[in-house]
Amino acid sequence: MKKMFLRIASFIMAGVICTGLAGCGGNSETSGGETEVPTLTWMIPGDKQEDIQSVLAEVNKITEAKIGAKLDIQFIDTGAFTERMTMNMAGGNEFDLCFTGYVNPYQQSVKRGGLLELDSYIEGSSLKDALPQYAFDAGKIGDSIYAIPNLQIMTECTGLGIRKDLAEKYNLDVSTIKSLEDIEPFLEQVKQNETGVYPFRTGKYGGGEKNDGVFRETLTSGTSAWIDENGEIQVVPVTELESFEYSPSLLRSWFEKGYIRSDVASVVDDTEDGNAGKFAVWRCAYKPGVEAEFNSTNSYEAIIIPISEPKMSNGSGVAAMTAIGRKSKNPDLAFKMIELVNTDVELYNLLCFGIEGKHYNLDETGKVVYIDGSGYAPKASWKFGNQFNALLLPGQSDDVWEVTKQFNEGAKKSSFLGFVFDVEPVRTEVAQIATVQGKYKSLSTGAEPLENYIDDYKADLKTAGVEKVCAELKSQLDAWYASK
Amino acid sequence: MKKQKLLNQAIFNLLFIFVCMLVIIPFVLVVSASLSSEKDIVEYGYQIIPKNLDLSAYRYIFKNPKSIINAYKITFLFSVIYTFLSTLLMSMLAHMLSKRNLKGKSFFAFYIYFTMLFSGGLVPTYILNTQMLHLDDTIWIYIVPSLITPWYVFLLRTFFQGIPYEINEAAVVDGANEYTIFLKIVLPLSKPALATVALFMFLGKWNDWYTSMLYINDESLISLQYLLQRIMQNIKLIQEASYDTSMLAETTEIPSETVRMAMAIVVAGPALVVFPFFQKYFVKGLTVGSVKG
Repeated sequence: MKKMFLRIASFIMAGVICTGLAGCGGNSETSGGETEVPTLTWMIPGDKQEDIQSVLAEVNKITEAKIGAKLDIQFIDTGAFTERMTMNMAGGNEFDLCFTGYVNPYQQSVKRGGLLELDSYIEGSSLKDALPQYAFDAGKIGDSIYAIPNLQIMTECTGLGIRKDLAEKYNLDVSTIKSLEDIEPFLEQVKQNETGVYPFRTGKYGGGEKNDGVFRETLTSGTSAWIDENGEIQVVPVTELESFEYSPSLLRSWFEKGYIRSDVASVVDDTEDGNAGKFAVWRCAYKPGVEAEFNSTNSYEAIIIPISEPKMSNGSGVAAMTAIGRKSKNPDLAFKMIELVNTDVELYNLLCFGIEGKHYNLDETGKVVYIDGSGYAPKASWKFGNQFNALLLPGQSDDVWEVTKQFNEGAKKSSFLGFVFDVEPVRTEVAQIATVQGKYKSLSTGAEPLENYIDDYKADLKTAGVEKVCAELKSQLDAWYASK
Repeated sequence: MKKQKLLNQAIFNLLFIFVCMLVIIPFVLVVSASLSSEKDIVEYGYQIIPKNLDLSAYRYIFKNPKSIINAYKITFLFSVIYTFLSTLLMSMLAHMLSKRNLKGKSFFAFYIYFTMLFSGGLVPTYILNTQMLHLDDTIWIYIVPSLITPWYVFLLRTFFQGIPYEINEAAVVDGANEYTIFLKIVLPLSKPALATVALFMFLGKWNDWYTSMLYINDESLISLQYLLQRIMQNIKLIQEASYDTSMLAETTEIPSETVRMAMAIVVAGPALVVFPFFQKYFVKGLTVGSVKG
């Protein structure tokens, strides 16, 4: 009996060792093929798509004919993407193309040396004409570019969402709302006459900055940098700004007047309340077509208006990009692939939506209607490339890409596009500031008395070493600016 | 005197009832939330007893149960294999270390101990597992890399050392070899220690999501905990990003609160069953294993 037990155990161990060896053997064989069409792997964050093979088959027909390469897309869970790509780069695993941006952060990846420099490839390529200059500017780190931004909305603009039925009920003229405080009379009306509705949603969204026409940017947490009217670079802690108290004091007064839910400090997640339409007014991101999108995905209608100027800041362009891995064996082909995806509308829409008739249908107005359970619906065209080539979804107006393009072009451009702050000299201080910011973020809801908040905040930031960081940032900015 | 005793008992009971409540109430809240309707949660918050019984969250999960059932199978499979193998290997190792006459014993002990202080680090481990052992995307990645945990080896060794050496000698006189001693004397006498180690090994594996995240691409090899973890991580990312990058609007339906709770119950279930079972065994084993002679 017990001998049997031992025998089974040794069997299993033998099995383990054999599979290990077999694994080694198997892998070395694959490289022995003859002159096949090379296959490029592309790592993209997102859920695995069951029917990806049939899409890839169609994709490969196009790519083989046009550039002589096949494509293999690997979807990796969004939540794991950063970690997986870090490992892939550090471990020297081969991949040809990868997504970089809001996950697998661009600047970090470049710093780790995981991405190939693309300047020499871009010169003389068709991408140079296909994408506007600001896209390349936004993707620069120092003087070089390591990834091609997926063209889409690249601006930041604060907006205000207002429940449409309430706005109509109280005859709100939205054209008069130019900044946050303009909405106050409406909040009062809602508070007086509506039950079961919170007039204003704050929570993690805070209140936004006062619009004074100066383009300030937070290049590292807790600081604010801008170029003043004399062309001098200014860097100060955020708490030193004249406009700093604007939003907290407004929110505080709103909290005292009862426009903000009284339990706001203890509410962790108010998503469900938002979905249920329990807020009359809330802050959100504004972009062209956002209203139509909101109304088509929510159970109630909203009016969404901009309350700030559109800005293209230092980080705006780098939220979604495509890069080439440094270990790629076929960097030329990989670049051609990026070029093709960004310029070939048919290929691009195949990647975004799958095969027409199998994975989606077009309705009478030419909008994409997904087929349920078809096995391919990444539902994120901005992950693949130039979104302005994408088919439209229901709720998007026909000219949405045209308007978005103009929005991008009309946006104020950051003077610091391409600058990357090297945190190394002040690493400790930056980490401490992040802790302080985390602490006071939860206080920016209006629920705390303002006096304590502001003085403590200033003091804590100072102790954390914000002045040293500002000085360092300023000297780096000066050096960078002079070299331009 | 009697009164004093009664009072003491009352105090202790109250204290333990309180501690139990601290543990049980959150769990009951999760169960109840998973059985409530979404509307009630928004309206009234979490309730100990659901206002309206609603099974739609479970219906939503089991509408497409393939991935959950598959993850269950995989997780159960590797947890059991891992628990068996690791307990076996560690007890064999510990048995040898518990021998008085093993040559180079201190070297082996140090060799094992050393790995408690210094590990290879994440990146070298990753390279070893993926590029030299090619364990990624196989079920062996769950099993092989962590078969030996030094801490438990020493725990077992100490326990084995507590078994009187005389039994060992008696067995040798009766003609037993090392295997017989190990299998027929040491292991049966060490059931409580083995049960404890096996329990920790099992629970540790059952709750492992990191391995899946790092090494598994094949959807059919994903562990149960990762399935849950992934949903949570994705929700977090969406919530963080959806404000700043308006682009995400296109992407996603976030599973509702009730579905998340139901998911947690479904995933935690088996561990809840296994734990008391092992624990019973563990308590029994304590008395069985006491030294006789």
